[in-house]
Amino acid sequence: MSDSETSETAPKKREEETSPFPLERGKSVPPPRPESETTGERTAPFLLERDKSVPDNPIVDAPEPPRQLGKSARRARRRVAVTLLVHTLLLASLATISIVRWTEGMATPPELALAVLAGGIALVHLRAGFRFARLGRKEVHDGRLLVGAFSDLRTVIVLKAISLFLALTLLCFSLSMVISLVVSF
Amino acid sequence: MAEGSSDEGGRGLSEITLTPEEERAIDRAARWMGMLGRFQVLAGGVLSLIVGVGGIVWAVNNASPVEVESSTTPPLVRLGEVSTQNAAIAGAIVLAFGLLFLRGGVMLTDAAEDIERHTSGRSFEAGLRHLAGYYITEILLIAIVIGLAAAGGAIR
Repeated sequence: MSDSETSETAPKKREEETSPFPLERGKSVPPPRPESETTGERTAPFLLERDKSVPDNPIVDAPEPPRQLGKSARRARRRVAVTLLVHTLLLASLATISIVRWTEGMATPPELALAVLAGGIALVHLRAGFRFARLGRKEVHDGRLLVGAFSDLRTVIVLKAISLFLALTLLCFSLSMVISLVVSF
Repeated sequence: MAEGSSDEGGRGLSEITLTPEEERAIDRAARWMGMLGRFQVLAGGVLSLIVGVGGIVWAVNNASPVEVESSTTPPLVRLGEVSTQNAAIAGAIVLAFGLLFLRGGVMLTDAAEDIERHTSGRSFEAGLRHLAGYYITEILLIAIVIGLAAAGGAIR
């Protein structure tokens, strides 16, 4: 080979080596290997025949068992349920005292209205307490139970907020009346 | 992670799956709880302040004896007169009522803030603990009312 030939072919070779496309380089692309050679050897035994000596992966195969509530969750739930039930008992006894006084003719109509309101609040609290107590027994219903309990609490809280607002308004009104009377005398 | 969410391998209340509607329902309840709590703090604070200031004024007025002993026979029945002991008892009961009311409002506000959804999630466990504390103060308030009703019935 002469020197002129080598000087012409050297840059061509370099170009072929750096070019990313083999067809541009003029090289022949090797024909694709038959499927039996490529996939047949590797994938077919995996897909068709399973090695039974290897145990199944329990994390992947077994369905996830329902988890119980944690200790602190159970304690918080039980504490709220117990306090709600005690609260219900006290409210019911308050309502009973007022109704007994009414039957004896010693109570006024506002006292009776208060007794009826206390009885209603006691019932709603009882329902919320039972819902909190049942929380965590069946995982499927937990969301509904939690929402039901909070909806009951919301009902009571709205009632309390309205009555507190009325009581405060009446208190402020009566205080202003008393102060104006004292000042005028 | 929420407090107490995975102790002993158990799941926390915050891990309960909720639909967006359920999330909104719980958020609404928490907002009402927060409102009532703040309202209760205001009412309890005002009540305690009024009783406290009234008690101080009453004590200052009674500290300087200006009573003049009359030579006439004292009346058998005195209408509208309250003894110092009775007034002190009534003031103490109202003050205790106001302070318990205030404490209950603080607990309820804390519970609402725990239960409401934040960027870091929500902690039902802490919220329920505060809610239980609120109901304990409510139990004490109702016990005071029942005690007063019973005392009123016994006096009559």
